[in-house]
Amino acid sequence: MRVRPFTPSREGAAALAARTVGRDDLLATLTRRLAGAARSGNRPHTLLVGPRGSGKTHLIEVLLHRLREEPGLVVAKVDEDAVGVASYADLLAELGRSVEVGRVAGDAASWEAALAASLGGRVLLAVIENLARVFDGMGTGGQRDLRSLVETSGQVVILASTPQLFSGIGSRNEPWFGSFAVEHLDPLTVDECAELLGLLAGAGLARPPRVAALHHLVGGWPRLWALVAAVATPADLDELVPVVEALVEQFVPSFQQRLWALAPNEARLVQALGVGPPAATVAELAAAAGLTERTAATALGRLADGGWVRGDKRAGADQRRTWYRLREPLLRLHLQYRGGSSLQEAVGYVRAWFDPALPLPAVAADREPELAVVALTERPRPA
Amino acid sequence: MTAPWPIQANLGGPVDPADHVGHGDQFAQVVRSVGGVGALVTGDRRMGKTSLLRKVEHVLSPEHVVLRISAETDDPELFGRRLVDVLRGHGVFTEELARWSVEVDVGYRGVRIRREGGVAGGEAPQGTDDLFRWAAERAAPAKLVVILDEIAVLAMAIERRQAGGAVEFLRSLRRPRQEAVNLAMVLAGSVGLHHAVVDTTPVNDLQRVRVGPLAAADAAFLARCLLLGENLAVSDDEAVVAAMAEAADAVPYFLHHIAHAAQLRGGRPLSPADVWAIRHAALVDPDDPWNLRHYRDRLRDYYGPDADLAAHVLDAVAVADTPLDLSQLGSRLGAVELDVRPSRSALLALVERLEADHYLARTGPADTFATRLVRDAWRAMRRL
Repeated sequence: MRVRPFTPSREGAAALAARTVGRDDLLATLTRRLAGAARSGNRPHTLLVGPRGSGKTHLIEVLLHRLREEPGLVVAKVDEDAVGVASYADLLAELGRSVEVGRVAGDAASWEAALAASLGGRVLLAVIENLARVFDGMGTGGQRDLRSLVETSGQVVILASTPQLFSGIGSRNEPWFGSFAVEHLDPLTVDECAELLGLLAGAGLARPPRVAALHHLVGGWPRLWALVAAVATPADLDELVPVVEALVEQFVPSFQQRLWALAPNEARLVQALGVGPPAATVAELAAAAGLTERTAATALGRLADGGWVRGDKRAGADQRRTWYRLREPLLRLHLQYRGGSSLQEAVGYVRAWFDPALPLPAVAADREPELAVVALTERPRPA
Repeated sequence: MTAPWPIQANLGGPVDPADHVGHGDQFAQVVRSVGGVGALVTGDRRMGKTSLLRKVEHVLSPEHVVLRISAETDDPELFGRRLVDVLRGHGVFTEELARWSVEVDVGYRGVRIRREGGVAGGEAPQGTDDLFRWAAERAAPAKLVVILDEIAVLAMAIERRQAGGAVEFLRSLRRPRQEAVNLAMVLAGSVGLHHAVVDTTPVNDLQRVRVGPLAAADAAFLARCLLLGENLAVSDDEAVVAAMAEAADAVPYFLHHIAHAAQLRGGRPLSPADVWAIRHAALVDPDDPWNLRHYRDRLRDYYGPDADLAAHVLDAVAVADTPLDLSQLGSRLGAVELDVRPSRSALLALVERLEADHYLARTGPADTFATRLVRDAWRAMRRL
């Protein structure tokens, strides 16, 4: 099976459907919802939310494949790599070209008329990936125009995706406030990752203790596991370090670009979370990053909005305190790896933690806090 | 009595007129108003105004010529082009529109139509007319019903182009409906017109229809429909339906959210406790899935320098056991540190604005939160 982890749209929907794991309920819900839109006057807009690699494009391709026999729907797509959508008219042009409406004068009203004429009473399913970027390009005026088209025509339903929630849908002053059914894509569970690995590379690769350890280290986003299937041999997976390093290497350019785009204070906090204890309070992070608590709290708020960090309360602890951690486990490994630290110790410890047949290695005292995160999970017992 | 039918949760997209449950009184008021000059439909976002208007369009269309168009645009030209497209969709205008090259101008002078260069050739250019008066003449003897949703957005766009333009624009809409006996207008919007114009006399001929939460029986009925539509098993039908209606404060949007969340959770049959747990989770979820945070965040935009005072007023009302009248409110504010203490008149004006913006509801001389859900969300957001 030829897997394209970064470009699932080139794989073919049937192949994607065959290796879809952990999304059955969501797919069933969305299929029912959009088929219902084709057969009634309801137009429930849907927004899929999940970070890069969470399988949004994959899910959309499989969903559209399921809906291909639905005669009441006309599908128009704005691809995730679409560039140059700087106005409402640009968006309509992208949608219009997708359904081949022919030559149209450049203004929005002409595109609207051409799209309406192409529908012939059917419903336009507008698939817009990276909605935040598209909305940002169109501005509030363009978003209003799109909303009023949807409301006036009654013939448009939107299926969109975004890496994270954004103010264009969450602020009451914005035209699309509260207009989407928001569906969060969750990471795959350990069992689902094992199933995916088995589908992609055969059962020999999917040894439960190693899958559990790797899941702990890198998380459960499907793209990572598709890459694991592509790069790992059974021996590598048994060792674990080669697989983790290969994944980290693969994402170096992506993480670099994203980190460089951060404001300096935010970058320092991310760095502190990457190389220090895996979860820390505002005060601890402020001290580690050399910031005032007020500055750190503001920057952490922005990082949370941007999907970089997550704040949690701890049961039994002071509920006014929040412990922050990086949302992407792989980013933490990236920061350690690029900072010159060996991944051997941390990976080796996690590997042993999830394999009761292995003894737990001794750990230097100054590494204990970092490795303590493993202890948040229950160590499997020997069979 | 009608049996419930399956309705899938729809968290904001257009609703099929057949699936609009409740608001029977408001629907009847709007339909009756069409016998006169029309109605001004107000209500907070997500109460179901737009789907109510769709139902009005659906029901009136066989007998009347109905034009329904969203005015939620900053671009008056685009609105004009769309209006022409909507007109073309009606047979009574098709022939006329085919004869002429038509331009529609939308601005502070109103919605004007100009026809030039008759397609057959040799026809003298026609003058510029008020579009709605022109359309009413062609629709006669049928009644022309114009439904303009989110009218405040277009009015504010016109105001930005021309100071004082918004009120002039609204006056221009009033003139034809006063003059043409077969023209009625239904104007609607979640953004109150008071945000676009100080003087709202141009719409004082319209019957005011306020769309709020559903009647209790309608909320229960919608809950049943949603349980069917989402294939949800329940522990106790009556109790779950009652819990859904109560937890959602009978607001359709939140009922849909509860059904959606219940569907996502899967597992064992839905119980009343689960319904309340869904509500609580939504109120404290940092992702704000029910979009309640705007009630706090919009204060600065809506009230400017009075935003802090508005927040204190809402704090006081949120923690009070009973509705508060102005004296009680004033004394509660006495314990709050304020830069400038409001006079009774200023406080009254602020409370009336909070009522117009759907925060508060008046009960006799006193006020309470418009819904318990917003009150509880306010308490959660303000850590009260």
